[in-house]
Amino acid sequence: MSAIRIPKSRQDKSFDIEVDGIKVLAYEGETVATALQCAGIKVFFKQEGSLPPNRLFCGMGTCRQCLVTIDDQVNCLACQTLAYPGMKVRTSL
Amino acid sequence: MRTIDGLTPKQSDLVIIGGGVIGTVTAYWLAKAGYKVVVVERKDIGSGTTSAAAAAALLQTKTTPTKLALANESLHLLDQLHRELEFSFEYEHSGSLLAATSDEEMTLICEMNEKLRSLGLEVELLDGAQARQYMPILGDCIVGGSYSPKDAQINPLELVVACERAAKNLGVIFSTYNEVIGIEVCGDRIDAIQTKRGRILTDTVINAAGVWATRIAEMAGLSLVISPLKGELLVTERMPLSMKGTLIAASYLLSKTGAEAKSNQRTVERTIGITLVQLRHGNFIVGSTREQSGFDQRNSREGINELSYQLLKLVPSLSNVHLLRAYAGLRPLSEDGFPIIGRDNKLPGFIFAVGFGGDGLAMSALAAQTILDVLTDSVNPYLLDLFNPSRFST
Amino acid sequence: MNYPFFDLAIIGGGPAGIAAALQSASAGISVALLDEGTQLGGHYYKQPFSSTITHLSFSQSKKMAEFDSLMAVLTKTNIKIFQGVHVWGIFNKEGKTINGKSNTDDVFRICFEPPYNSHDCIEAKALILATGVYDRPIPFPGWEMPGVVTPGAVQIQLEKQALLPGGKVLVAGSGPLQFVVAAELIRYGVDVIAVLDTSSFFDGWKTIFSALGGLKSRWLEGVQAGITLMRNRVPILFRHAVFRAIGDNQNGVQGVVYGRIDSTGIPLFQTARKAQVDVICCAYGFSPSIALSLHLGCKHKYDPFLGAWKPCYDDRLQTSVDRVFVAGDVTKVGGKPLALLQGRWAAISVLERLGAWTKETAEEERAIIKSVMRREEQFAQWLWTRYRMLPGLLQIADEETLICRCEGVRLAEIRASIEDGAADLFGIKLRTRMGMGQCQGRYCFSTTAMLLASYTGKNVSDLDLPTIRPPIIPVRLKQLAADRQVKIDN
Repeated sequence: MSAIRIPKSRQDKSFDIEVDGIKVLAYEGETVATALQCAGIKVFFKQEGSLPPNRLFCGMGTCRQCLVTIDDQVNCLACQTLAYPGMKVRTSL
Repeated sequence: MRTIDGLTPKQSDLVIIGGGVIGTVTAYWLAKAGYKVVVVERKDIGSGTTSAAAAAALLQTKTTPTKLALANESLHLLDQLHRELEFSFEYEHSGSLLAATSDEEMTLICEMNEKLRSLGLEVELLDGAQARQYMPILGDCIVGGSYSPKDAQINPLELVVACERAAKNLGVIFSTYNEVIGIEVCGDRIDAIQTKRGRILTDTVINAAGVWATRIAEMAGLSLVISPLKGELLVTERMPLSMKGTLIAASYLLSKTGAEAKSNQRTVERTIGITLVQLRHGNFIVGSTREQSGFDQRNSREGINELSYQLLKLVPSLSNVHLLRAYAGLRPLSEDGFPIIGRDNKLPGFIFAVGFGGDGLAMSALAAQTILDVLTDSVNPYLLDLFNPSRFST
Repeated sequence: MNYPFFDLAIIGGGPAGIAAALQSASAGISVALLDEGTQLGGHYYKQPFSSTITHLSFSQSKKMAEFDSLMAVLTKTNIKIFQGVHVWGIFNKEGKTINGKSNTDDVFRICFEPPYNSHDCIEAKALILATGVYDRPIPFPGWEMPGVVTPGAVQIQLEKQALLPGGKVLVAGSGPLQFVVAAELIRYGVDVIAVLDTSSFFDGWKTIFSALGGLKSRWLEGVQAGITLMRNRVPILFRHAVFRAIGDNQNGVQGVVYGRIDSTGIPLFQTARKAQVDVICCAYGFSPSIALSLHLGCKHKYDPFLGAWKPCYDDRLQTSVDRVFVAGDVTKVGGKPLALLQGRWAAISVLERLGAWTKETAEEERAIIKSVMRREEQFAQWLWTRYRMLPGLLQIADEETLICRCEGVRLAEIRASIEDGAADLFGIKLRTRMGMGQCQGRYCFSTTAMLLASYTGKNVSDLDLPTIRPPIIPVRLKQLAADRQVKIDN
């Protein structure tokens, strides 16, 4: 189930980011983690081998389990990185 | 679950002092040949210099025929170890590329290349484009280099863990978290060693205590000169595999020989020669500084900054990779740069296995075989002289 | 090379750091306050990342007035605030790590990234580490699934992102935070199916008088949370814990198995119940953020109530390293009231230590806050006695459960490494890669230590913590290379 934005909590400044080529809505002031969760995306990055997928866990930039690829830069903290228009997120290599 | 206390037997054919790569590999090697072995290690295996090894066994950086011959034999024996050990460790002949960033460096590399080829090493000169074909992550500043396909990468921790397990299966006892506090000598004979957890009767002691080997030698009334040379290195986060083999900056050779480099070396006290290897889990290991700093194993801000800077000059595509940890270790240098392996001439039960400098990882299997040969009196006369512990005394 | 010099550098801009800054600025020494957030306030005074998210929860709004008045004073002082910086290493004036010893004539070189006003390093004579705590998970089968989060994460998402979890939520753990979080979610209409608590309802009632001083300021929040839960008929299950997440790594959490535990935390699997949920919000107390204090070589001691290590400190809040002080949750999880007091206390100690204040002046200032601080400390002690770490919770994990999530190390491998001879955390790390991953051991060292202790019969407090070499947080190589370039250019 997707995460839910509290109604009327955003100024109407929304834009699109791309996640694996698909457009995902984000609002100014939101983190990548927020945009992903509101789009129902729980797996932030599929790791290789038997390592578990990256996902939200601590929400404060400490656990580093939420790492995603943003604009071809790997290992960015989704919960600490603010989304911006045209950002390209990838959830796998 | 049993209580971990470090078993201390009362007696052993041999006692190896030091559970680093030398002590652990030797323990396995000797146990395989039927010896009853106890290893006494004051912390856990590999906790000394071994854990700071730069993870490579290189051939093309050996500047003399002797060093190259030793390196060749070392790799040959490591091949054997890797083949026969029932536990695996990362070990691969992934090759190495010695890279030049200037015409002067390329000239130096060409000279070395010619020399190495005349000694029988399979090395190939590459131009910049060819170098980037072998290692696509190389930056445009690389003008060329020398490629040596037989050089190897090794995970030092996996090696000691694998050898410890195999050695234990052969009956070796690892008395870890135990410290040697004395060696009982009677004339030309060793009677026992004393440890914090008790006395072990033995007539043969192998000093594999690395940088701390002098202390052990002194316990037996012997002298030994080992100079520590600190090296700082970097370990990055796991990254998708993008590199095969070890990258060596030309300045590594200059750093090793202590020559003043033409590239941006900041201080004379600390020199840097970059080596880069990506281990199979994906972490990059970036070596290394060389600095005389006594027994100080601390990392320094300048060391970390300089290693990062020099690395990114060669491989700018790694700019965004996260450094996870810096490490540091002490290379145990002998006075002439060659290992010291052999019996003490006045106290034959005391066998030295020290002074491997920055090559302990690569030479571990050769050290083990040589020690076995020492025990069976069958050391190659050339090596007997080269490694002779008495070669320094007047 | 000249770096900006300060008498005092405070690392951490939550309540403790802010209080320390205010107290020390009043005495005329030069102070730097370094904070990794986008705004000050730490985890207590949380605000959205940007003013474009316009919603503040009720509890946030209440705190904002307090925060604004603190900031009003702070901005009038000469304190230099370094906002949004992550300290990655602290070195002495020779550029080497401190390793437990700081000579009187030395300084601390604090290296951080990203650069702030073109500085990536400052020097200070004294340090106050006000680095706080983070939620402490205990592994259970499936805890690595998407949909398992900490209460801190839920609260941060609510307050900084005006975001609610979707679907059904189970909240579980040890401590008051879970109740507060659950109540907040319920007020926003989130379907919280139950709140699990490891304590027994009656734990601590006998000793509650010792905690009344601290309880006074908080009881209302606790009661309000309780009323919200009861009014919405949300079951509060004492002596319960999460046993297992149901679901898979692709689709995330789909359900949860939970049940009773005994007074030592041992799961009573026969009482297991299943429920459909989308989010499991779970953590058992807090881990103090000790990476910096370990890196400096401060002595630490194991706190069996938290089940984690924290720095040793004296009655001045000074650590075992001269001129390094600590304040706030990192010493004792007493929340904002204690943090504000400790921040002041540590700053008073710094002023005395640096000679800016005489011993008499310092004593006078301490006297003002001493008794209320003691009351808050007593409350903290009471709270963490009631919510002490229960070692039995470790039996919820099975052989396949991940202990080191970052490197994928399972309980069976940890156990095997101990059988193979590992006698401390280094030995386990060596044989399994535990602790070698992205979180740098933050989420697995304490749990692994407890496992090692339970398997070997040793006390956790007898175990050595591994040395923490820099960087204490992962830093991109380009930041470290740039640092060097700055020095060359100068």
